Amino acid sequence: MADEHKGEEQWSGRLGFLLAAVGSAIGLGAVWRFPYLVYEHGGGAFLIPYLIALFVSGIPLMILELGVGKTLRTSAPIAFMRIHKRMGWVGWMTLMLGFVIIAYYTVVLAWSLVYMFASPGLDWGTDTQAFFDNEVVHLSPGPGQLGGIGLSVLAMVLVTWLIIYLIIVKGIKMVSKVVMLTVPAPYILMLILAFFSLRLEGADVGLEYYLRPNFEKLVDPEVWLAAFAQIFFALSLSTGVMIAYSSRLERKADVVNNSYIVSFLDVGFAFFAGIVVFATLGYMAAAQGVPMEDAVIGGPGLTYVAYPTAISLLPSANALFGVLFFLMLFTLGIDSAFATIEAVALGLKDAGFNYKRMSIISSAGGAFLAILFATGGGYHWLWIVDNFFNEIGIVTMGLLECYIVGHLYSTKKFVREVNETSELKIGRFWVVCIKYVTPLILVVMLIATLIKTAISGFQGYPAWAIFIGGLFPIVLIAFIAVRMSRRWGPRD
Amino acid sequence: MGPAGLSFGAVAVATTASFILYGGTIYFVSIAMKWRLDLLLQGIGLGAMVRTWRRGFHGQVAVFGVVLLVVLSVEAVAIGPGAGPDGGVPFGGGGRWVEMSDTLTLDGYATEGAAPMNATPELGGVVPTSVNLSLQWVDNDAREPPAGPLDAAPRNRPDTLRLSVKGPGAVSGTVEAANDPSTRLGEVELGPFKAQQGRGLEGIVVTVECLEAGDVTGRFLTYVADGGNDYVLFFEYTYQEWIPGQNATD
Repeated sequence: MADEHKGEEQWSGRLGFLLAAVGSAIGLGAVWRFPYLVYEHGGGAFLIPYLIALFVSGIPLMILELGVGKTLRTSAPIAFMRIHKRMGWVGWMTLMLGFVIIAYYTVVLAWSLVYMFASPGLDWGTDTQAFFDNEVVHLSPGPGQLGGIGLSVLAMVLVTWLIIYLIIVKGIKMVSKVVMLTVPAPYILMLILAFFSLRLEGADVGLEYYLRPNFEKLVDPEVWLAAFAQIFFALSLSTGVMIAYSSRLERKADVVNNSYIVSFLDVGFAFFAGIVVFATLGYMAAAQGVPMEDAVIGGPGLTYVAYPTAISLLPSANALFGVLFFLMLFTLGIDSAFATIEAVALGLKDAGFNYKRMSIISSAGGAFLAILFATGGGYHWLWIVDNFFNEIGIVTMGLLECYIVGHLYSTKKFVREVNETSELKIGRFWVVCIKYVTPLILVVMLIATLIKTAISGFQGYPAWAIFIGGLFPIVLIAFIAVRMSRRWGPRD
Repeated sequence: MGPAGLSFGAVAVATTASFILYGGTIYFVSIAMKWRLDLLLQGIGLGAMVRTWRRGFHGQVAVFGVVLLVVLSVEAVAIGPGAGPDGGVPFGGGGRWVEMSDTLTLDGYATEGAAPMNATPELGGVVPTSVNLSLQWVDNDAREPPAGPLDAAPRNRPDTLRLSVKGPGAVSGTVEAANDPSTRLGEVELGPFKAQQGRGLEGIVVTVECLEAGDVTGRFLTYVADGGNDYVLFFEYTYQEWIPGQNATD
């Protein structure tokens, strides 16, 4: 096998790679999705299906992606093409889906910056929902109306993309340095926030709601499906990042242990984030005299509506808490953002393009797309695209990855190659998970999404919007991916 | 309730998850960094644990299980039985949580214009999970005035009492009313207040205040000067009690 990166830059050390991979895996979902899912699906009892999902699906897929990158020494498109000449499009599609996802993801990061600058004056006032809708998002009545765009959000979107460009333009070496700051930062900020929030009155009630196990929920299949879906999305799998990053690892790198560390740090952070989130929500419920059930919320409503309310209600240090919280959100998300765009640039580089030029093009293209999502109407498109790109696009990519490695590549060979440099070995369990268990779960997830969409649509949006924002672009991207794989093959 | 106000169930989940996630992270990082945790453990007299761990998967599960069990047992003893069904189970022995209810009656006298009187009942260490308050009084100074030539029809002015409660979370309220002049009966109610799940209504303070004790007056004279009123406070509450034994019933 030719070494794609002979003489080129690789990760200078294991720490740089690990931090970059962890930073890429941990995203905003750790704060706004995971804690809410735990609360909704049986509190502490939800951790049982979640940890099972981690071991039978999350970690095996992580090993698969890191293993593919490390052994084939190239990004997803070329790697899959090397396994099977007709499968390069899966890699291209993975990168393109990731690219679009990051385009709207940076809008959410821009909101965090807007809120960070609004924190010193608690500019959101008492009606935090109105502030979010009118001052930040400039929400339009529906996806049919583009609406306006807030100058502050526009500026922050551009700042975010400039940061992404500056980080990725110098390649892996620069990323190795940046992640030394951006990956520990949210952990440290979260620790400070924990110190603040756990001392608040009502924090224990919030934690009780978060952690108290309700084992009866475990008989509900939806709880298990939610656990597997969350693991899949939480680890940022099937976006091409892990394959691109591990392709720049040195040959003797330990794939299995790296996979465990990245996965455990990701899930551990989300669990800890839940403690901080629910302690704060517990305080908010107590301060407002409302039942905890009325205070719990997930998604952006948690971070940009409920949290500002809680920050305003704090007995002291409101501004500091606000700045730290929104800075934490930004640092949490920026790693995932630049990792995905870098994976795109590396994928194009491995297909023979100039890396620097590709960094500029992908950053500029991403910024342009992000501006569309930053409009009042773009907000609606953001959620439509988010739902279908993840639940159909990314899940399908995960399924295809399992098929390519599990059935088109020799699993025996893959296991041997991975075990050669790994202290902890994989074996029959991993093979069964990748060939049968994970694909089966992903198929169930896919069918469940399709049935749910066919029966009840998506959040009341019209069918044309679901088609234009969700289904059509996925098919279009698949078409472009097939064309790209025919045109651009491996350099050697 | 445990020391931090958390039930044993919640603490056990936090402990187990932390053991798996953070313990796991440390273990895998130690492999990556080639830290010799085994030597460290042997150095502090835990060589047997290291030897068992080295026996492979079953040994590792055994060590993990035993250590976790020891930590959870210590927590169970430290945290105690908890405040209710969600507060976990007292350490050792079977049984079940049963909701009990009781009503306490407190008599008192509220003086007009005086500071609110503390009428918080003593519950003997029981933490209520719901509370309902009822304050009743009879205008006891509304005696019939002596018959006189000047005021043929003296009027008795009603007494106005206020009942207030303050406690954790949403437990807060004030209600006041004057008694019915014809029947002389007065009554106000507050509640019911229910504790949020997994938490008790600790630290409730109840006060009674006489805002106005209406005198018995005629056209020209005050026949009876009212300085306050007796009252009866009914403190209805529910709480959780651990009934030992497998077949305990309500």
